[in-house]
Amino acid sequence: MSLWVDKYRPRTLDDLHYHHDLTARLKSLAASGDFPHMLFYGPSGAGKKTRITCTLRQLFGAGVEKLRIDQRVFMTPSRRKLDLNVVQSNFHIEITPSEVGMYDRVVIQEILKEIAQTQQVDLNAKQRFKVVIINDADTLSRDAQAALRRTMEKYMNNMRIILCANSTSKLIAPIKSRCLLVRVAAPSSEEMQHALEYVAKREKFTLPPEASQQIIEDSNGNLRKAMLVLEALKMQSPDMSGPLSIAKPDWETYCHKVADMIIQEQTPQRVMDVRAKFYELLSHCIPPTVILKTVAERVVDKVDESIKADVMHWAAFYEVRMRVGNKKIFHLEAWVVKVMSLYKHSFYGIELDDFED
Amino acid sequence: MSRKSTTTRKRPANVLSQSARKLLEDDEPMPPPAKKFKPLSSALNMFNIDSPKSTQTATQRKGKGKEKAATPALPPTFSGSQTPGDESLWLDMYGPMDETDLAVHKRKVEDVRHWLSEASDGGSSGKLRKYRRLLVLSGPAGSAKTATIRVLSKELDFEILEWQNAVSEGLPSDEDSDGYANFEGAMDKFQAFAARAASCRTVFSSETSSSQTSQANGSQASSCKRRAQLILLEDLPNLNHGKTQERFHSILEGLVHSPASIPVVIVVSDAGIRGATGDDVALASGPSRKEAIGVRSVVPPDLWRSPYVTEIKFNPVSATLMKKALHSLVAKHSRTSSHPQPSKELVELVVDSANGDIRSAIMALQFACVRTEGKPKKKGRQHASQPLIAMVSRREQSLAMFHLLGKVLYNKRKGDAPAPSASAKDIQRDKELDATLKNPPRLPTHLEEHERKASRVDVEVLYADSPIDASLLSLYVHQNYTQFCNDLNQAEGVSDWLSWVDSNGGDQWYQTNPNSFHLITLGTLHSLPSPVPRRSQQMYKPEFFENLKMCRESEDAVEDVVQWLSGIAQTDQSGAGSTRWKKSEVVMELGPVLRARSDLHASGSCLPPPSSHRLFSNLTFSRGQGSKAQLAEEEVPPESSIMLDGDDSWDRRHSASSETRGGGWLEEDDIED
Repeated sequence: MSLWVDKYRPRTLDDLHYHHDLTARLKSLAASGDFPHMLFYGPSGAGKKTRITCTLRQLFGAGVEKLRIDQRVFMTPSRRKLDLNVVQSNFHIEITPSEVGMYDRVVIQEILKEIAQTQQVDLNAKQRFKVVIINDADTLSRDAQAALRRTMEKYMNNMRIILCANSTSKLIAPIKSRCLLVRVAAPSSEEMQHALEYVAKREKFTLPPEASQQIIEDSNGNLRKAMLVLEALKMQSPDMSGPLSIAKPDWETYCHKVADMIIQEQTPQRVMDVRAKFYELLSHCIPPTVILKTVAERVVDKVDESIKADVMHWAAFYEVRMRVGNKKIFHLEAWVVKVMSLYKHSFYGIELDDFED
Repeated sequence: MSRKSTTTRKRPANVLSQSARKLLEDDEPMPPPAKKFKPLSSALNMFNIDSPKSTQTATQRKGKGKEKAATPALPPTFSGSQTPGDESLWLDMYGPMDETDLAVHKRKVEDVRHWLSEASDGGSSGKLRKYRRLLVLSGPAGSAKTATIRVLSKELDFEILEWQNAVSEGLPSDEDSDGYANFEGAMDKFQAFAARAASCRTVFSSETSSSQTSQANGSQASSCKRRAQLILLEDLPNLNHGKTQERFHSILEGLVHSPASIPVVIVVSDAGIRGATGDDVALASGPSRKEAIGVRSVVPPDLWRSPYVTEIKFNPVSATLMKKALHSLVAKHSRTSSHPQPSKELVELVVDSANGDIRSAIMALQFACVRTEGKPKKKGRQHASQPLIAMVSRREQSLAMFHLLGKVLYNKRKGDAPAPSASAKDIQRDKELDATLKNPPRLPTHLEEHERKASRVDVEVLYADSPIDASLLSLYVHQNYTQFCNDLNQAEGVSDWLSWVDSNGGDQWYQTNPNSFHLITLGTLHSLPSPVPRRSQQMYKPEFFENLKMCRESEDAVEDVVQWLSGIAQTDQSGAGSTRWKKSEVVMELGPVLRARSDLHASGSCLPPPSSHRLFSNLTFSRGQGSKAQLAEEEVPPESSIMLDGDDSWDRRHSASSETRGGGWLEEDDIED
């Protein structure tokens, strides 16, 4: 029994619940035969990937749903071995180059070259080109983006690229200008409500409006998260009545508690305590950028107006260092110490009366 | 780009050479710590590059050379290049003969014996034989893994078929005329070996063992009785090469699933995690991590998850066990030879410095005895030779990690009041040192906050003597600096320097900042208070590596869940078009659902998610401090000892998960049979 998110994921463009004008546009694009490179962008859980798969289906028919997952091995110039999971059908291939970190350029080059050099041999195929889907395009390194840029022009004959990204700000301009940009916005509350009710109907239970309202508020425009929460809730209390408590993921509450620790006390000893917590978070595979962001947002909520800007400034500053450096914990901690010292100074600089907890 | 990197690389060389010249010109600017042992200066010289050669050093050279030559070619093949007067290595002469000789914890031996006996007769139920196909013995070097398997196979009457990579590749060997005439790739040979070992069991058992396997025990070849066999793989092919690894994996799977059912034993020495800059990159950047040979790279992943594989982890040999073993070895030795017995203190010294590696301990002991044997007249000066032995036997890098950190973190500067525990001699020495230090010029008023007294720490000397590289130093400093800070400003300085140095330079070796050691040291010294108040601070080992290990485990768990997700999506008829989940999505959003599903499964309804998901989805906030491993004064920068005393919670969790796994397939076992 698969998760509801997977089970009730729309398969065709007609099934999609919202953004109907976008759907119409995608449909006419797929029909026109002149399909461009595309860049889907929008917040997490808005339905980018779902729209991509639906478009593919529109392009190629049901054959595109016959997927196989391969593990491919790539070799870097320094003879290091990289494993990458590749999802592909006869008509498309889907890769997530960010899984191999800074060696993404190698993967991009190898895969694109391979696809570009093979012609579509299936005579029944609706289109003459294959599609390469690149997930997490905004985390591609500069090198990889540069490699992409050239190939996009060169192999236009038998390949189209669909990029999927959260924001376009980290993509270089030449790539953006070569793609048709498609923004997939987060669904509105009504649209989410509609989708949740659809699932409830298919699962044959009634979803009380209060419950769905609570889920929607909690999920913050992320439909995937909303579906997951719905499923978890249904499993916990099958009748979905009474006061519902939406369980936040453990890591989120944990991050909030870490932020509280930072505000409670500012001493070198506390730095050690916070570090232990960070280590714990990191060892649970929570991405360091997410940790920094979550903790920083919580800290900003709690501190005085005057240092809010500084807290965020340093968060951004150390996030950049974190991307460049190897030992994430150093940068997380450096930020914490910075914030502690900022907070302490503002605390003692101004009189105490503003800071009753 | 390249031009830039060369210029940056050039600079430190100049700096270094200048400072080296200065060192030579200045008359003893700062006595190195080892100067304490005055009578030993000649021995110290041995480690320096150019030194006046006394007769004593000559003999030592010889001894050292021998040790070096012997180390790589360890047990049975080694025969040549020995010093006259000594027949062979003690390692070979006094290897363990039975269980009582083994310097391994009884329970570990029992585990291995249990496995072996189950492999031959199937355990109490008789059904387990099927699952006792592959045993992996892992542990640090010199923890008696191979010795255990040899002793036990002798006891349980197993014939060992051992694979050894041929050295003379492509050249016709004088012993074997058949196999080597045509060139045969190493992996072809290995495959042939595996095939032969697995199939030629009854008829050619003696011939197999003579052609490609070692175990030159005469009685074995002649005995025509059918004996249980086991395949021992220790000398593994080059698994860093992708193709070789693939082939090795397929051969291994073939061996495990072959009908002849010969148990396979693989001995894997932990390569250990190092903090070197290059490795860091490999460690830090996710999946490209299969550099070091670990158990997971030796055994193919599907096999690893299957019930056919058992892993037994060996710990470094404990001090008491090693002492016992060495004493019995010495007793044996004195029975056979007329040489004087090494003193008790010497044995203890060797044990202390071996760091759980019994092989190196025996080597050191033999070497130490060779030396004293050569100079019987020195008998009266036993006391003097002790530190010498300690110096010789200890690994080179052990140059007091503890003192290095102390120098950096205590931040002593000119004119500091001596520590209350300092002896008069220490005070005197500090005074002399202070006299040589020049006061730095005064800074302009706007930079006054950066004014410091001259430091007693010479970074260049520290750099030259340091046993560890900058990356590892930064981890150690990071672990310990907070205790040495009085307030947040100082902590801010140190942490910012650490962060800056870590993010400086690139990923390639030619992009790394060559000055990072100096920057970390100087940055830390500049930021810390002066003088650092003594609060009985304790040094700890970095938690970084343990954390990394746990992170790896969780990543594997995430992968398990991703596979589970696509698995259930495929069983669902409607799930044909579903895509693969992203790892970050799984980690960050799937936690509650996974937990709910697991709970639901407890009441028994649907396919449960892999139990390992708790490794990343379950995070409880506790006030307690994680247990930290303290750094001992004599600590060697650890290759493997990082894992000696692991985090409790980790062990607990790990054992829990392995238990459930074990439980899972035992049930299956009953169903199948």
